[in-house]
Amino acid sequence: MRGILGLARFCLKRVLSIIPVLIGVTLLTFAISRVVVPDPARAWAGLHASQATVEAIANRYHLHDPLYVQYFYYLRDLLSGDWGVSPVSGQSILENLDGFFPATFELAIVSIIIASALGIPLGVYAAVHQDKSVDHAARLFSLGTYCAPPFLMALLLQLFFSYWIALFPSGGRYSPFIPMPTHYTGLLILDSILSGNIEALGSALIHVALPALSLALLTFGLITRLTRSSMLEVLRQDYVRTARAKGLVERVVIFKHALRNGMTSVVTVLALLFAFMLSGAIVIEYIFNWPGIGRYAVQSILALDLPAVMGTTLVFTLVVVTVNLLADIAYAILDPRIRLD
Amino acid sequence: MRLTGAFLLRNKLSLAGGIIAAAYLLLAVIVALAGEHMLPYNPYAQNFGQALLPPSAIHLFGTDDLGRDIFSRVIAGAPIDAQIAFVVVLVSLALGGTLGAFAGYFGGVIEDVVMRVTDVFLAFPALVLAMAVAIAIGPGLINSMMALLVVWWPWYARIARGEALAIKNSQYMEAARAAGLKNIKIVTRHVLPNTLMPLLVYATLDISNVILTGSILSFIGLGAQPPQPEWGRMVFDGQDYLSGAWWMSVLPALAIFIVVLAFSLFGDGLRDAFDPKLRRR
Amino acid sequence: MAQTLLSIQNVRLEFGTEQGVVHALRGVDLTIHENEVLGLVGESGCGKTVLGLSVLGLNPSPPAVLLEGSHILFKEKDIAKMTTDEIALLRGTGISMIFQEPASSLNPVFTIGDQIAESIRLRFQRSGNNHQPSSSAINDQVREALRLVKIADPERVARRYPHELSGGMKQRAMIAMMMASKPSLLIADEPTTALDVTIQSQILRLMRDLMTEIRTSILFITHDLGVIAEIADRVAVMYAGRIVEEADVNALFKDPLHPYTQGLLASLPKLSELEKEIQQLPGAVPDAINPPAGCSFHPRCKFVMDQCRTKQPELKEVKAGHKVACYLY
Repeated sequence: MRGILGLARFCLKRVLSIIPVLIGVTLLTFAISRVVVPDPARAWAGLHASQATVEAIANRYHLHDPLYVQYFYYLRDLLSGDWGVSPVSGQSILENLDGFFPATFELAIVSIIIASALGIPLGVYAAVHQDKSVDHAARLFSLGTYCAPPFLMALLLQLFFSYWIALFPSGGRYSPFIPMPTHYTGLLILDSILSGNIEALGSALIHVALPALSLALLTFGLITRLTRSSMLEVLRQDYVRTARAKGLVERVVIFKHALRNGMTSVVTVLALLFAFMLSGAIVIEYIFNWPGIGRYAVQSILALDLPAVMGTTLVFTLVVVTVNLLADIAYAILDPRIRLD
Repeated sequence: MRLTGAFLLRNKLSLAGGIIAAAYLLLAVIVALAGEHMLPYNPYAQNFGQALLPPSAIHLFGTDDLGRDIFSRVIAGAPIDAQIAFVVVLVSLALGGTLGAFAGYFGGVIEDVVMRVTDVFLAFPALVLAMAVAIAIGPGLINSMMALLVVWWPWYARIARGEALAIKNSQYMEAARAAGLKNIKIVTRHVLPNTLMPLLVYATLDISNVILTGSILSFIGLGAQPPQPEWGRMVFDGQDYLSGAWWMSVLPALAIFIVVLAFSLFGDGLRDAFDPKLRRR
Repeated sequence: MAQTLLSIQNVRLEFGTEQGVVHALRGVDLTIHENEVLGLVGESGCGKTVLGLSVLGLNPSPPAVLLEGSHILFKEKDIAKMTTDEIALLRGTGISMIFQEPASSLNPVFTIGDQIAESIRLRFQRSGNNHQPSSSAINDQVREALRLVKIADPERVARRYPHELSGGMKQRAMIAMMMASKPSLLIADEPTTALDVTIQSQILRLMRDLMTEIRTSILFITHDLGVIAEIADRVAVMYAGRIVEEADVNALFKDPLHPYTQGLLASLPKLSELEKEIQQLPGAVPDAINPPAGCSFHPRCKFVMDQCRTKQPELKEVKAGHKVACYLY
């Protein structure tokens, strides 16, 4: 009972502490959109817009008013869901982002699952067999995947498994020939399972395979490295010796007593990893023509669509801040000592 | 004994990384100074009759869709990423590091403000913020360098502040103050050098990150503009021809990978050498 | 005559380090009987903790090597010859160990109740029962274990995490956890050193009571002679990796035979002789990498003779139940 109250208090404190950061984030995006941009009115109206349109836009966004007034309207618009209209596509930016979000979310989840399933056991193994050849191989491999530019992995996978050996489609999220499964969540894999549609599930899985693998390879190196160093730290602790002294089998000692303590730092780092992963997703979505926010961001950049790019910037940042908050909370759940703060 | 072996192995890799990194830098300097005359082909010369040729003895890396020799373009592009990375890291170190050192040493309001501001900057994923700034100021090489500067300085400010705090509370600082040294002298003569030196190790590791992020920025169209032979841009240009002419994209991408890996390995080794816990006799 | 429970014979153990080979144990002979508390006393660095860990095979094995000729006999089986998995079967239910720092020795992410329950489940598994006891049965046993160590509110404490308890409570919980599997032998490595003096005597009394209730023998390792006097039935004195004297506790305190034991006892301040200067043992503990030849104590011994410098004395029984390793006898 006491534990839960402490946890609730902790959560509240953390949520309150991110509010100033979020305000700061909107200030920075505001500054970039209105101050750094040489001609904000034209940027929002469109490069080929008429002077009249530009003037209308300037009035709508109060661009002639002092900056603090502009910021007030900016914040109000953001919070009320008016993220502007793209001068290139003419569509509501927020609606676009909303539409593309599930695809990125699905890709990220599948990637994290693959990366953790590969990285955590490898990290544990490397820690338990420290300094043997497996450990060195694992470390070199992790460093290699961390240093590889996201487009390298994506293009190589596409080349090998899509073009040379036609195992997977070279892009897209879903086959145009198979009807979509009933919409429950917007996550095609989940929706196919929920509606019992095997064909849809197959199509969804085969399309997500290469992008998710590329993204997973990018981050799995980091996960291995961090699990390994975390476990090394934990295995030196006294309570691991106590667990052995109690008579527990080595497997239980490592996977129950040691790993549980090691996981706390891995969870925090998974959150940091998330930011890294999102950046990689931008490139990978574009290469695989995956209809997510990353691809939307690149297309907007190529079209010089500033409002859309600012929208994606905000979304990415909001997601990262939220994920970090969730990781802090997860840490408090896993390690009861933190809740006392 | 096993530990020394591991250290040496890591050292060998770091050494290899250092050699490759040094070779890359040397190449970049030579190309920047000597120009394109020493290259086998003119990196800008288009030749449609020779388009999309696979790697061979006459075109080591093949040719692209406009008939340009890719090997020459890769070599010609070497200084671009190197220049950006060095400028970004050094300026971030100098400006961000100094700001952080002041914040850490003087504390109080200055420290609070700097911490809050860096908190906000660091809340953005690096690439995302760089993208936003770059699109605001327009595509281009110099602009992408400025965008990267905006993203990179907070890291150094944070680390420098930590180092400065540690130094501020150290005994040797008390001695300096007791000797009556004025604050500004203390900061410039003692705090700054001792704060910024450890940052140099971090900076070496960081070069690889900047090269990586910079090449991604160019890939998505915000950095170097055609016909500049920047590696990330070359990867982008070759995408449409991946199935038929993989060498257009893959080889420049591999070049980026090798350089980034080299700097990372070297930086790792450097960091281990400076870490008292890991040093074994 | 009490039954022998654990027989340690000629145990020699070395550690490979970068500075050289550390000879931690150089031929230890020790016997523990059923239903007794054997105190193992010595200065820090003499190897007493290493010996305790060796019985359970808990010394980290790449650097630590148990040399040929070492025997640790427990219930007719030689632990020195067992694999790690075989020793694991003995731990908990055969031999248990409690450590000096309860704060770091208890897992911070599991409740006390969970950690005790693990020992209880292990005991059930090993006793050959085919089905697992129900969770309410286990909870009952957890509460019983906590009551046994005189914890006032077992229900509440079982739900706590280690960091929420005081030092004394943590040590009781640790004892409860290690005794819940009902071992025949408990090795206690400085269990009271990190605690307040008042709590110390409570814990010592608790351990003696438990010993009689559960019929567990205790190997009590400490550097504190006062604690030995309170809890031990017999005492073994350890110096530089060897046992130098072994006797009944009263006999040792009344009539110490080995010069080292005499020095140790003389250096204790006595309330009845406040004016006397505290006697110090000259010299320092020998270097474990290059121990002196012959008897390791000879550089500090005021009775040193020629043969002490060349050959190590054997541990011999010179009076009833009183062994000593010294050429004086």
